[in-house]
Amino acid sequence: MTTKILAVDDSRTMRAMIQTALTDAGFDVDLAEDGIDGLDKLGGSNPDLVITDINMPRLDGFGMIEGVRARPECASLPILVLTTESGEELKQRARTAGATGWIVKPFDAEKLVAIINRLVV
Amino acid sequence: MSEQATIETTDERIEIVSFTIGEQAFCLDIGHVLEIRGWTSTTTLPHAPDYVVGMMNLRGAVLPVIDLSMRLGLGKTIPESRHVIIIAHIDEKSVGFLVDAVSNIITVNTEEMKPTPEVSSSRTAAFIRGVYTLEETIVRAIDVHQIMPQEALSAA
Amino acid sequence: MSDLRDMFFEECDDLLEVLSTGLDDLQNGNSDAETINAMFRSVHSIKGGAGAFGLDRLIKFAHAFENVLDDLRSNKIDVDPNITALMFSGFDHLSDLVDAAREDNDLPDSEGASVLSDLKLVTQNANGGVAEEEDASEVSSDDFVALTLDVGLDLDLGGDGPGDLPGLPSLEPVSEGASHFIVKFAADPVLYARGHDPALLFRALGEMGEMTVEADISGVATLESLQEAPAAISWTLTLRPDDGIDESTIREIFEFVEGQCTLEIMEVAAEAAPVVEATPVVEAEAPVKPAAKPAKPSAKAEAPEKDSKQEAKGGDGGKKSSEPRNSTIRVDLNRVDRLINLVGELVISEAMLRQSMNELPVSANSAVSEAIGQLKTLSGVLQESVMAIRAQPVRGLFQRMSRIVRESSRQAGKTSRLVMVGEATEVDKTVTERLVEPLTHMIRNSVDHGLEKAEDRIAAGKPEMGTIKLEAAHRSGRVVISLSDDGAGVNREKVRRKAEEKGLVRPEDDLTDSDIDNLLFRPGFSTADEISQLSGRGVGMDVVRSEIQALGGRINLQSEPGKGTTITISLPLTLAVMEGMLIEVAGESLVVPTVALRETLQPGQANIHDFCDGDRGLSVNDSMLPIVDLGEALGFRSSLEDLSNQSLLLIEGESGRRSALAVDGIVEQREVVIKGLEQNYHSIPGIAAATILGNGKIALIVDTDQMIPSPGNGNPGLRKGSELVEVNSYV
Repeated sequence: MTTKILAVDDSRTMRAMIQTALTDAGFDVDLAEDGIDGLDKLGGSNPDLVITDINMPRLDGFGMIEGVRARPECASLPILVLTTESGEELKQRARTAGATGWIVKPFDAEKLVAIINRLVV
Repeated sequence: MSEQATIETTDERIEIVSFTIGEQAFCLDIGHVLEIRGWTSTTTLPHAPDYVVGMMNLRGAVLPVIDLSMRLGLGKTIPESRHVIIIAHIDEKSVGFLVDAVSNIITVNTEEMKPTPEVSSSRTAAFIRGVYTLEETIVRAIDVHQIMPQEALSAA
Repeated sequence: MSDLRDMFFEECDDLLEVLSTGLDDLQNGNSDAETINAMFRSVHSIKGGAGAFGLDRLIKFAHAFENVLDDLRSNKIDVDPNITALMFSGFDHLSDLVDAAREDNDLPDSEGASVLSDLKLVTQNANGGVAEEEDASEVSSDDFVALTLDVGLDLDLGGDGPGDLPGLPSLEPVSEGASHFIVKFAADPVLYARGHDPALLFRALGEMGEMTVEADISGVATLESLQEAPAAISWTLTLRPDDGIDESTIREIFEFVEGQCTLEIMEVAAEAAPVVEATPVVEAEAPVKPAAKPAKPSAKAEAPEKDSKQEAKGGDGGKKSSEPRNSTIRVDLNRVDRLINLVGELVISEAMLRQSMNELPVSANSAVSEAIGQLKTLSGVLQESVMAIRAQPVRGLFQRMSRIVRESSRQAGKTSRLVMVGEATEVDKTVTERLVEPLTHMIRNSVDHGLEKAEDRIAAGKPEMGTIKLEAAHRSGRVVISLSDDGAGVNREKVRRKAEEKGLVRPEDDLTDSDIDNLLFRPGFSTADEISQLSGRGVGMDVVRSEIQALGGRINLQSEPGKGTTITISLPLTLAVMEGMLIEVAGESLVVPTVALRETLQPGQANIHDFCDGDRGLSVNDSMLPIVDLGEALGFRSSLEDLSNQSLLLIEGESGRRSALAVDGIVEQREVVIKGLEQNYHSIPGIAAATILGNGKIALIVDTDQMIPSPGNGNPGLRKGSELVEVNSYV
């Protein structure tokens, strides 16, 4: 079965870039626009991995990661943070919230795919 | 509509649509020609040059019809049902050319085009790019860009 | 990639709009925490996208801007007029940078430099005056430019394909005699809870050289209990690294699991590689994937719905969270236009069908005529709905204008503010686009010529800050946009004098106040004694007027001395359909727009009065209107001797001037689909556009404004333009 990825970002440009990169790599991609939307779509999408931005309206990335982790079926779902931030403090916050990895934008499609392949079986 | 073969490139085999006005034969690069239709009545335009017959309705598009004979200085055409309108797309605009009859579609080599005679009138020089000789007939190649109706410099 | 680029710039427009709205709220004291958050996110998203496209200058500036917004939202600085003003400048420069990047232009280095340093200074002061900002910003921007991945995951995975399962490490013994690493690893339960998978970490490690893995499963009782006690397994990995791999590289792999596992890394010297018999990989993998993934049989069935959701884009990403989110889609404008055209054709076909039905000799079959009646209604509704797709609020347009107000005020050394009313009013997209230039010019004019200098305002008892008001509203099927200022109003004496000097009017001409005010729209008219940098760019209000007319609009100026000036633009709701009166002249069918039509009448010869050169006037209610013989004006035939059999259409133009159009006959009033003439031809004097009638014939739409003579107005639609001016002395 194709690997399904749920990408959450409030920028439609970024969503499109992620979608293009991952679809080209053979992944199945679902998109969400912010944390709330991401959590809403989680059940229906049933992804193998989540990629999320941090700065988003309504519910930011930290909140969404916590929300994902709160669901028993998603307890070990890999969650990658994809953001322009690179501060150590923020990374630690993401880690505490339950993030799996941290990638700084702009991302290189090949590397992103490589990392995803390392996180999903 | 987007593909417009440009005749300007040399050494190339192109298809031309040949047609007649009075006794003379002319041609257009087929790349510009969208379709050929019978004469339909047009709506007269105010303050238009004498060679603009009027506007025609082509499936909802409004486009001008040019009396090519008048444009080339060969006299005014009194349009009737035997006349033909060549619908062409030139410089992003659609236009109808009123001619006597369409004769043929022929493949020519652009290299075979000869220049117009030196004695050319200014109109010949402006509107005729050159001539092809096809079975003893001289076919005049229309300069499509020049032949298009020009907006008068002074509107009044 | 270029599609994405286009998308990015489109998104930038939306984000800048959010930012601009936020700035307005900030200025008006309507801001709350979410306002600043939304502004921050907008700039942040621009920075993020800019990073993806390597737009270094935009990144740097957005970064500095974002820092100030960050300081604002964390209350390190307070909103005050200086900060607001700086952020407005920041917004302007950010827009410029976006525009420049969009056009692949580079702004001069000097541009925006002071704003950038001011922004940096604010952040620096907010953070205890530490000059760290300069450096931090440089470093950060480099980060964005360069491909940056978190080191914890940034590994060269070589040719590792998606289908490659965590085929853990070769089981072959590590060659003896080389230096190698021994990694001892035991995962805490939390590691699994954060989505990590030891097998995948090992695979990454395995790509750094030859590796063997040994799992110590001594603590594991049964397979079933693995999930509860994953830490019971510990692994020993032995790696003979490839070139360039050292301990820090290895540590980087584990960076993100730091604190979630026990990790020990030892470098072992050349001899005595402790080759361990590898435990079967299966067992090592077993705990790695707890039964966390429910089966997903429904995934395929949901696919179509999901696809459509993916298309749904929320352009309102920056709105306040409490607002309901409208689901929107983005559609190429060409597709919409094609649809609109097709529906236009449908309406025409429907009219043709109805006409042919009427001509049938048989008495109307009631079922058929009922169906046709329904078709007419439906196609009408369909057309309206399709037109609504092109409509968009004027907010974006108005916000662009607020910048023009700021800039022109600065250049003119005046203080002024822009008040916007009715920004939600929807107008055809093309109209809003084509209004940018005329409005820009009008606003520059208002600031430059309309508003008085500060001292004059104070002397006149007005507030020092001038007010420019931009208002939009729907009024009787048209969009009305007005621009007013609370300035000095038109100096009629000066305007009149100027017009006389330029020969536009004669000293003896009797002109109303409104006539004088509207002289400003005359070609080449400029009241500024010295050509100012702002509005004296060789473009006059006449250009504004012709632009508005090209949109099928009317423009009018009203002024009250000492109180201010209001310019009103009235535009059709859509550019595609209008209400018109079908008339006949010299065998041709023409349409006169209903908006200009005041009255139709059959003249008695007694009401028509002859003047010089065949000019004629019509006496109506004590006034004398010029009669324009339409057939003659359009050059279809020579002037008619006898007008008594003609129908007269009383039309009124923008300026309020009237004339009577003499036509052969009036057919009916109807809605027509407008077809531009410029697309395949060019504009024609006296003609605004064309339309296609029910019988498939083309009818030209008369440009009524060009059929109304006015003082000195060289109306190109009028054959006898200059002579007809004479008539005006009777108006």
